[in-house]
Amino acid sequence: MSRYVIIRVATSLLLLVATSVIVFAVLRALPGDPVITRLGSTQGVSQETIDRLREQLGLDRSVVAQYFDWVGGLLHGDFGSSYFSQFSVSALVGQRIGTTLELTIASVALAVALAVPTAVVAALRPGGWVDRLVSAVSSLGMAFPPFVAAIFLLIVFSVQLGWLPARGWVPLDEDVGENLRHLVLPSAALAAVASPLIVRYLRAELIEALKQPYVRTAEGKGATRGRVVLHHALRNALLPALTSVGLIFGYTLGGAVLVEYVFGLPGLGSLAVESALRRDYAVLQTVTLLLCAGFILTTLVVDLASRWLDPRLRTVSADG
Amino acid sequence: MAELPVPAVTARERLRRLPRPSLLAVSAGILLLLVVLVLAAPLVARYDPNEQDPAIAFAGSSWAHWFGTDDLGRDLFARVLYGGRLTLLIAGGAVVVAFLLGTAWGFLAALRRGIVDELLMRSADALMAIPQLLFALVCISAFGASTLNLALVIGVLLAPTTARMARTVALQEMNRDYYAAAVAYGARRRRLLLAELLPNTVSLLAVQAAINAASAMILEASLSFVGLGIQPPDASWGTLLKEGYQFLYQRWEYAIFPALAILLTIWMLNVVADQLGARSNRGRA
Amino acid sequence: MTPALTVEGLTVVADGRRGSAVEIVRDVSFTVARGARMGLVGESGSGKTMTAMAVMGLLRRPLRVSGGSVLLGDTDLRALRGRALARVRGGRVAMIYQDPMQSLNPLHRVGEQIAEAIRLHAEVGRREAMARAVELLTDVGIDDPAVKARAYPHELSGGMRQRVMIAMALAADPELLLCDEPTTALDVTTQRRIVELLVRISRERGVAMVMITHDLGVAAGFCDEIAVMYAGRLVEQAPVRELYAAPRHPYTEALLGAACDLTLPLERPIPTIAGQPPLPGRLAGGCSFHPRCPYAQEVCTLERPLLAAPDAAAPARVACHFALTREKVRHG
Repeated sequence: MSRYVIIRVATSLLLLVATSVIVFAVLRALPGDPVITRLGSTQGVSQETIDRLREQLGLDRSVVAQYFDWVGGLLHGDFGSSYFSQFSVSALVGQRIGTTLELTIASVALAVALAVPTAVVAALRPGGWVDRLVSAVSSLGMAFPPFVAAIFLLIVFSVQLGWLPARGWVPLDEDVGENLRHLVLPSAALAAVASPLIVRYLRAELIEALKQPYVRTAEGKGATRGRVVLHHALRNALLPALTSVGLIFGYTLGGAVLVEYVFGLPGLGSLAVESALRRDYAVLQTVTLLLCAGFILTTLVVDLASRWLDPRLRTVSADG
Repeated sequence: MAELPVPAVTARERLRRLPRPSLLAVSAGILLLLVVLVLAAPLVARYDPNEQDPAIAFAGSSWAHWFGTDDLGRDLFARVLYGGRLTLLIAGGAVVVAFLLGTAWGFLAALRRGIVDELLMRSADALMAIPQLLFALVCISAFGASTLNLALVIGVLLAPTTARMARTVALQEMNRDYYAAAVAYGARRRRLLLAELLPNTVSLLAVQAAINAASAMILEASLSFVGLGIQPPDASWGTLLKEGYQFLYQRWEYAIFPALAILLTIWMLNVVADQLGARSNRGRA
Repeated sequence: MTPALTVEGLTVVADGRRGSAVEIVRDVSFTVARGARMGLVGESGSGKTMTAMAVMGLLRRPLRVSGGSVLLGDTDLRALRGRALARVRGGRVAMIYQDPMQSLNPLHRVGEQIAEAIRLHAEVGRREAMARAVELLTDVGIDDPAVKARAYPHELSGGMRQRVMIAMALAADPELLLCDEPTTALDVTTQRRIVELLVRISRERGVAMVMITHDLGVAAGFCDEIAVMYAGRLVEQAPVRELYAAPRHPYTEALLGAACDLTLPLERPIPTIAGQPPLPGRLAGGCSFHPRCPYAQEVCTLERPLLAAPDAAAPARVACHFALTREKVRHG
């Protein structure tokens, strides 16, 4: 186990470093001087002011030095300061990361909760009418860009029915009920797109698992159909399907950017959009890297977890 | 023979046995129809997409204005049709860019192997770990939103996935007999690439192209939606969706039509990709 | 006393497209007395396994039972559905399978899998079921059963896995045990130990057993009676001694010839049966065996011989036009 874990963690770290280099390099290579953007224009501003600002932001140093300043700062929890707002990047991110986390976790949980029973029902009779209905609906679901799904939900539940708020956010620690009311539509929009993906993977795995001899053994020892499916086949099917959850998580994280924007949620995604519109690269590079790190970390955790959950891999790798 | 007698055929059975058009044909047909409609926009639409008439702002659907009108009284049907032209242009451009860049990237990795392969593929991994939309936001905010920039940026963003696919496919093909035969015959590497690898991988690359087209449409719509895409008065489907979103409480149908256009196109592209993929898998099995 | 198992006219078909169906098992009838051990032998594809699966009600689409009856004691198994069927399966009739690795759930500890079988048929708690599972593991000859009960299937050897399967099958004290090639996946010494174990269990517990095998050596060491299947039909059934001493059906004779006799010098070529076993649905008319039969006459291509007692005195049954007269044919 240990060797595999070390290799896997090391690859993830390397991937993260490579990602940080790319993010940084791209942002520096882009046209548009952040200082000038920030001052609005160079007219009426002395060169001295510009230079001072440059120095303040560390932009007078070499690109490589700037990179290490940034990464070094990140490692110490210092994310630098925004080119525009008075807040440090850490403060901006700190205000908003909770919302994104809550939204993403709620969405993935909702997606899984929707997908598992659906996949089970579909896999029980492959090619039956339920299966075909599920296939058709999930094929349509996968075609939704999350923010388009968000707009459809908005139209139905906020504009037409007026049941749920269309915009805004109440933090969890302020009012749980209101928080949930504001969470429903955004997470439903993300789950509507993510759960068809899970259904697809899980259905295929489940159909395969149901063909295995151990399922017949379970039937042969007198387990009822429900027990055979849930206790024997589903557990075996969930394991390989788990690897797709990393992918789903990344997809949801990416989709959350615009869904936050649509619902006006104060999350990292809307922060990224605002920063991009203002060319506030200091914030943007950090937010981007954080989202990448979230994705890479999830993939890593899912990968290690699925290995740990499978007794075959658990002992095989313990030898190695 | 132990064949049991075949039961009598019911009317319903007979109906079921009529030759049915394949899912691939249906979805490809719908896509084709959409493209033709959009290209023929000047012939189909009865209004200029930018012609304003404040007297009929937010008009509902009618015979005169099938999709109704927007806040400035412009005909929404015409705007959706013309908007499709920009959307398809950008998506098409991005697919071409992604195809050229991605296959070159993937084939190079497959042919060179070793350190070059490792470097190319790890960098593809790193790029794929970055949320595409954020990357696109950055690039477009720096370079400015124009049709060309959008197609280029989106195309570059889709290249790593395409490269990965192209590499896998190329490696599979290189394990086949005809490739070994061609190598033994002394064929030059470039010739091998163009004459043997490319034609044989084309069906799988077509699948990737359909997937890319769908992703490109999502990215374009996303960028336009936050205002970093096609700028008014021109409008892509994403721009129309943004405008509709701003007037949700005035006339929600405004947002529905561009949303449905995006949805239908992506759906059909996904179905085509699925069916093509299944078909080439069967062909290989 | 009613037999443990009575199979009457059992027919299994594979449904094809457009309503066509191919018969895999055709009109098979036999009985297994309580506590008796019967062998069901034949080449692969002869329908042995499908017969057992049909008894268990474990056939899956496209396979299904299209005719005949299966009585377990007095219970008509074909009439049972859902929970009633689940109570009988594993409770009164159990089965052990060819490939113990694939047949055990890879994610559950073997002790849990046995305990599950116990709890499905008896109102006992988790801990008590586990204790009984360990007991069963001792019974099937596993050393260190408490430790092994906590192992996963992949951590055990092939022979141990099959012992676990046997323990699981015995969990609810069934009256009938179907063994589907239980030794095929094992090496020769382990094979013998497993067969010995099964014989011991059948003696001690009075469990009736059906041993499905293509290995006549295994069957000889295990069974009281043997039924031979060819192309989905029973072609001969006789007490084991009688069958080995004087096979009445040419196919049985050929099988016995094909069984490698280790007492003979190695240079001697291993006898084989000429030709290929037929594919279901592509059977020759008349007797299905005639294309491969050295004694075949014209009548064999035209008329299917019925399974019948060759003479009133013998308990044997055979389906061959020349079962009695073959000696003459051969020498004549």
